[in-house]
Amino acid sequence: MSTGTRTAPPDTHHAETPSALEKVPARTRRRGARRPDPLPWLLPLGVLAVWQLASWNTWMDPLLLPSPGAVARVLWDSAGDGTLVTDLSASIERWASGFLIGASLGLLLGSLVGLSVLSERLLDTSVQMLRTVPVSGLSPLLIVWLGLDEAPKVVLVAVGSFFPVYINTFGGIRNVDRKLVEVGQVFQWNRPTVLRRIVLPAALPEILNGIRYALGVAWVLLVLAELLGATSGLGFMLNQGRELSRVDVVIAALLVFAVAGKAVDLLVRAAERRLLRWRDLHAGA
Amino acid sequence: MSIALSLRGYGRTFTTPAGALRAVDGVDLDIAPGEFTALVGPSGCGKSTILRAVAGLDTRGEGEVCAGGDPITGPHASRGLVFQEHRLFPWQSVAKNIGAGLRGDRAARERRVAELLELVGLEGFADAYPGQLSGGMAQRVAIARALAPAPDVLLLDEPFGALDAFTRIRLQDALHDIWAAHHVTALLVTHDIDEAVALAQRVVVLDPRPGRVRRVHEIDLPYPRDRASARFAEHRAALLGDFALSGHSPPTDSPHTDSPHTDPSEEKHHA
Repeated sequence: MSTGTRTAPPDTHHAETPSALEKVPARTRRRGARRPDPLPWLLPLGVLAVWQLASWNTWMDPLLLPSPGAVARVLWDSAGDGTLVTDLSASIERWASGFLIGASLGLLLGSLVGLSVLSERLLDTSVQMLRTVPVSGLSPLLIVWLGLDEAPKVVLVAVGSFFPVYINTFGGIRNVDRKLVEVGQVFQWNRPTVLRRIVLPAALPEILNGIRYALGVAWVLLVLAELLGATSGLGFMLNQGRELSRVDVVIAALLVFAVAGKAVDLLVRAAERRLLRWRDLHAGA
Repeated sequence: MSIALSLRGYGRTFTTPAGALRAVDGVDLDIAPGEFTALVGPSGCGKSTILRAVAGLDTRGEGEVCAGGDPITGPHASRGLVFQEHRLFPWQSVAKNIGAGLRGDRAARERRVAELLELVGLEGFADAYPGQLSGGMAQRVAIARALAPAPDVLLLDEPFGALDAFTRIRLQDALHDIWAAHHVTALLVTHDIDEAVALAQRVVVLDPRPGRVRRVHEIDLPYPRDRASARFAEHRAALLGDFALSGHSPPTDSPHTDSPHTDPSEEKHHA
């Protein structure tokens, strides 16, 4: 946490009462919240233009690189016959349930280990050991144990989401400034109040970092799980495209992945901005 | 005369990896209600340890530490504490920070917060966050937060140590006004002798390692005190002499001998 809770910076505003006070607006404007910036769209649009150019001039075999129009048609058709919605919602359902299970467990165990040295001694070594196992390597085991239904996919996503949330919750709680906790002591707050009013808000930035990272990992593992065998979902769409040598279907599925992933990221960022508004506000920044 | 705070034979030993460290030894001190007392001394004299004991944050010392005649067993709303760092919650607005220690119904809390914002001259900053404040403003908020539950005693642990000289003087004056207007008992830990002379009625001079009371220096100057006056300078010189820092002390001055500049009327509290 970079906000100065340790030592206050030397006060540079000598005429403190009036002038320094005027410098601070009651509400600082939020960064990037107003007008959309066109610059981030430049690269995707450029790629699209080159792609379109390439297919017009047939620089590559259309079977290997279908035109943007062909991909758009796949998207349009699958949206029309409902398969896109079915696949997308199947994927989102697995992704969300796996993430919720994994992140909740990560939050729970991370808090437990962060708050109690006894549970740290009991649990942390085992968790850290398991963490070094590549999660994707679990899939054969999960298929043997749980078959090819929903369960192994959800579990794989859950396992992947667990670790980032666990590690960041643990670290976030351990990094809480003890000096702030002492303020709660001075106010005679009991332990639950100190947790709610000091430890949780102080650890929140790191916990949210873990959650954001976990959402990304969950997305990657979801595709992996669906590629291993599914009858619906974006991974299934990818598989079908490969089996039928329909590159346009593969690209369409990848595009949907990218857009959905970006949408989730935007949601999380919005939540972060709301919850951590205080971090954006700095005098003279 | 009733006594607001009293220490009897207070001592504290810390266990460190290097062995036992005697931080404070045999401190006796009585502070009357409404009195402004400063604890001064070089680092390692245990002045912050004493303050933490009075605050109730450290109850593992020996001897007796009492507030209003009752032994101190932990923090209490009747004793407010201001730390060297502002220690505001960065995720809460100034108003929420000031009201953090308040209980009771919301309307009453909000009224109290508004009073305190006015008291420390930060009206209009209720919705600002600590990250938006300068160091001096943040420390004002910290003082307001400590005063919010209307404590009898205000404990200050080098509260202006991290501020620049101009802001420090301005905040010292603000602290004086608050003390004078609210009749709180103030106990200020500082290593700034000017600060002690500007604010305190009594200055307790501590020796380091282990912390012991060397003597108590009375300052009878009327308020507001003129930092440029000759009498201010006399008191400053007397206290500097305690630490052989004035430049006037004889070179033979041992740490336990009072400087020749000290006033004969001062009590001696050799431990």
